[in-house]
Amino acid sequence: MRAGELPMLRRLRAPADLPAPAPIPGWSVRLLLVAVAVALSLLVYGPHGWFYVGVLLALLAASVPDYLLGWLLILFLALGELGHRSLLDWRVLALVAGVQMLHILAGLSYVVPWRSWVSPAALIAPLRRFIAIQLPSQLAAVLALVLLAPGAHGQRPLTFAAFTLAGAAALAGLARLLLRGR
Amino acid sequence: MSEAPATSRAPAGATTATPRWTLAPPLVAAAALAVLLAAVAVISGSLAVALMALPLILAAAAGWDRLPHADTQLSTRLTLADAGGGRVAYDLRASLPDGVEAVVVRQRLLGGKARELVLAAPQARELAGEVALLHSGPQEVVRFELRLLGAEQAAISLAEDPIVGDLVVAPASTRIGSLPLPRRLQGMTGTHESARIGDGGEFRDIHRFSPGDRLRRIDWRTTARLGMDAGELYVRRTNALADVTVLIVMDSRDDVGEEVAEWSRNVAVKKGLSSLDVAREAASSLAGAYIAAGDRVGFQDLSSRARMIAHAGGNRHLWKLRRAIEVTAPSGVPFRHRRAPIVPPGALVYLLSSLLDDQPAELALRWLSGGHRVIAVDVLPPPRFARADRRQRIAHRMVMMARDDRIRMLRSHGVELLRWAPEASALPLAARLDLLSRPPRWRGSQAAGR
Repeated sequence: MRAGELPMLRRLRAPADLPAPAPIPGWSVRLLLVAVAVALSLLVYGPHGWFYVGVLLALLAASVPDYLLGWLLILFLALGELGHRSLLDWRVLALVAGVQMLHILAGLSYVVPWRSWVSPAALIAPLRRFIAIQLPSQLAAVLALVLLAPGAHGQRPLTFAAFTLAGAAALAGLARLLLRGR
Repeated sequence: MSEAPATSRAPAGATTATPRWTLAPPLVAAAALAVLLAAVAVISGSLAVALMALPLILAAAAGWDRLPHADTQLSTRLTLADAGGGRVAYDLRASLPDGVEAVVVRQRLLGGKARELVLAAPQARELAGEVALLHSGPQEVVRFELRLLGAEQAAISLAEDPIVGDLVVAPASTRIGSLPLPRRLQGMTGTHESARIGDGGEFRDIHRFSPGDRLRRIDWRTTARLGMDAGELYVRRTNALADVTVLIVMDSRDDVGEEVAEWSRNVAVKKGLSSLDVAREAASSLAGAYIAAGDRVGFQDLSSRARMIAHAGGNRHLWKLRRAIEVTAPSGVPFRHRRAPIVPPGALVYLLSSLLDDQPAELALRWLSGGHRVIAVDVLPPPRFARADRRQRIAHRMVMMARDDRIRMLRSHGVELLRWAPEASALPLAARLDLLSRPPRWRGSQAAGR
């Protein structure tokens, strides 16, 4: 321990004799999961009522990731979104990004032991994939909201049937992509 | 005085295994949730919910698309090398299967607490480091356990068999100047002066020539001075040289360290200098010193019948002895001897023990009653109470009281005591050995135990 350093601070620093540089404590992934979940709960439910259920779910998802409560939290947020009108605003776009971030963080919490040390390089691939998925998702979200969300006078530019057909076509394309070569 | 411990035999272990992959719950959860959200969106007509499902579907698809193939193999090679200064360098090279994105590495050094690291696949291909050796003897230097992770945590390999780097560490060696000898010296050759008349030793006396004396031993000056007639001759007589037979008996049943708080847990990295470290060093040093003096040395580990080496001399025998001493490990099983191990006639017996129980003391008394000189080498290191609580201190005091009684009883019967572990209040080891090496009348009362 360095002179004048508190034992608590020492625990925040990775041991010097690790066989590879891994300076990020494993619990920070779970802390980030809680932070993102609380922010999204606040966005969907506001600072009262169901928001506290979201906070509780976030804490449980971070403390016992084996129970997959992170994905239950995403469902909880989606159900909360049913009470809102889908409009082209930053809230929906933030939710689209936040949901994937929650999925990544819940998945990492599942595999990263909380007392472990994480290499920054191990987080680059999930981050790169996050960007790769968010770019088309945000573009699709903007397009869908422009074309399908009801306008100020309550009319939709395209019908709901068209929305269903587009979704089905997207799913079929995805299934074809996944089943190739298997 | 003491030389640093050296590593012996650095093994290289190569393994190849087919990882057992399992579809990870995060992938299944994401896919199921995406379908559920899509259904909710269709039923409720909520565009936002449908858009929330979109990244989940894409993420699950990306994970599924990059699932590692089941037949790919994981190859590892762990090597240990002497890094000098009592340190060992380890190097784990892993050839990871395609599709592995990250690796959870569980590492344990010297049997201590396991540490876990999450590394990107390229980083996990070479894991290297150094570790300072704390003990002699057989030990696990490093242990790795790997869990492979696919993209999006879509696939996780079940824990692979641990990759273990074992090493046998040679004990430190102490140079010994004075060697205690048995009560009676036997044999016709050697380096120790016996009480018998013979060749090779120091001048003993002038004596009248008698049949059997060699002519070259006639001392003509003395004969000229003292001889009264032509047939009266005088010879110079010298002492004969003899060798010594030594049996080193090691009580390896328990291995307790300096830290009293660790006596029950016995964790290698926390217990400090241990009694077996001291015992190995003492046995190795004594064996080396006696063999260098041309004596014959035998070795017996009380916890194992397999580790018994008959007495002999020479360098090749010393290697054999040192190897047997190096691999001595605590057995954890109480030994039962119906008869005391056989000791060569006239041998000096070193009993290396922490003297924490009665059985070694009983054996020492049996050898003593058989006419052997027995030196009990106390290998218990001085205690440290840094982390000990009150109950542990009281327990330690009680154990020590019983041990002191045992030592007192041994001394009263004539067993000599030699404390090997360094102690601030005691004489240096060289002085203690010097006292034991003196003839009995000059030795004082059990001075070496101080």
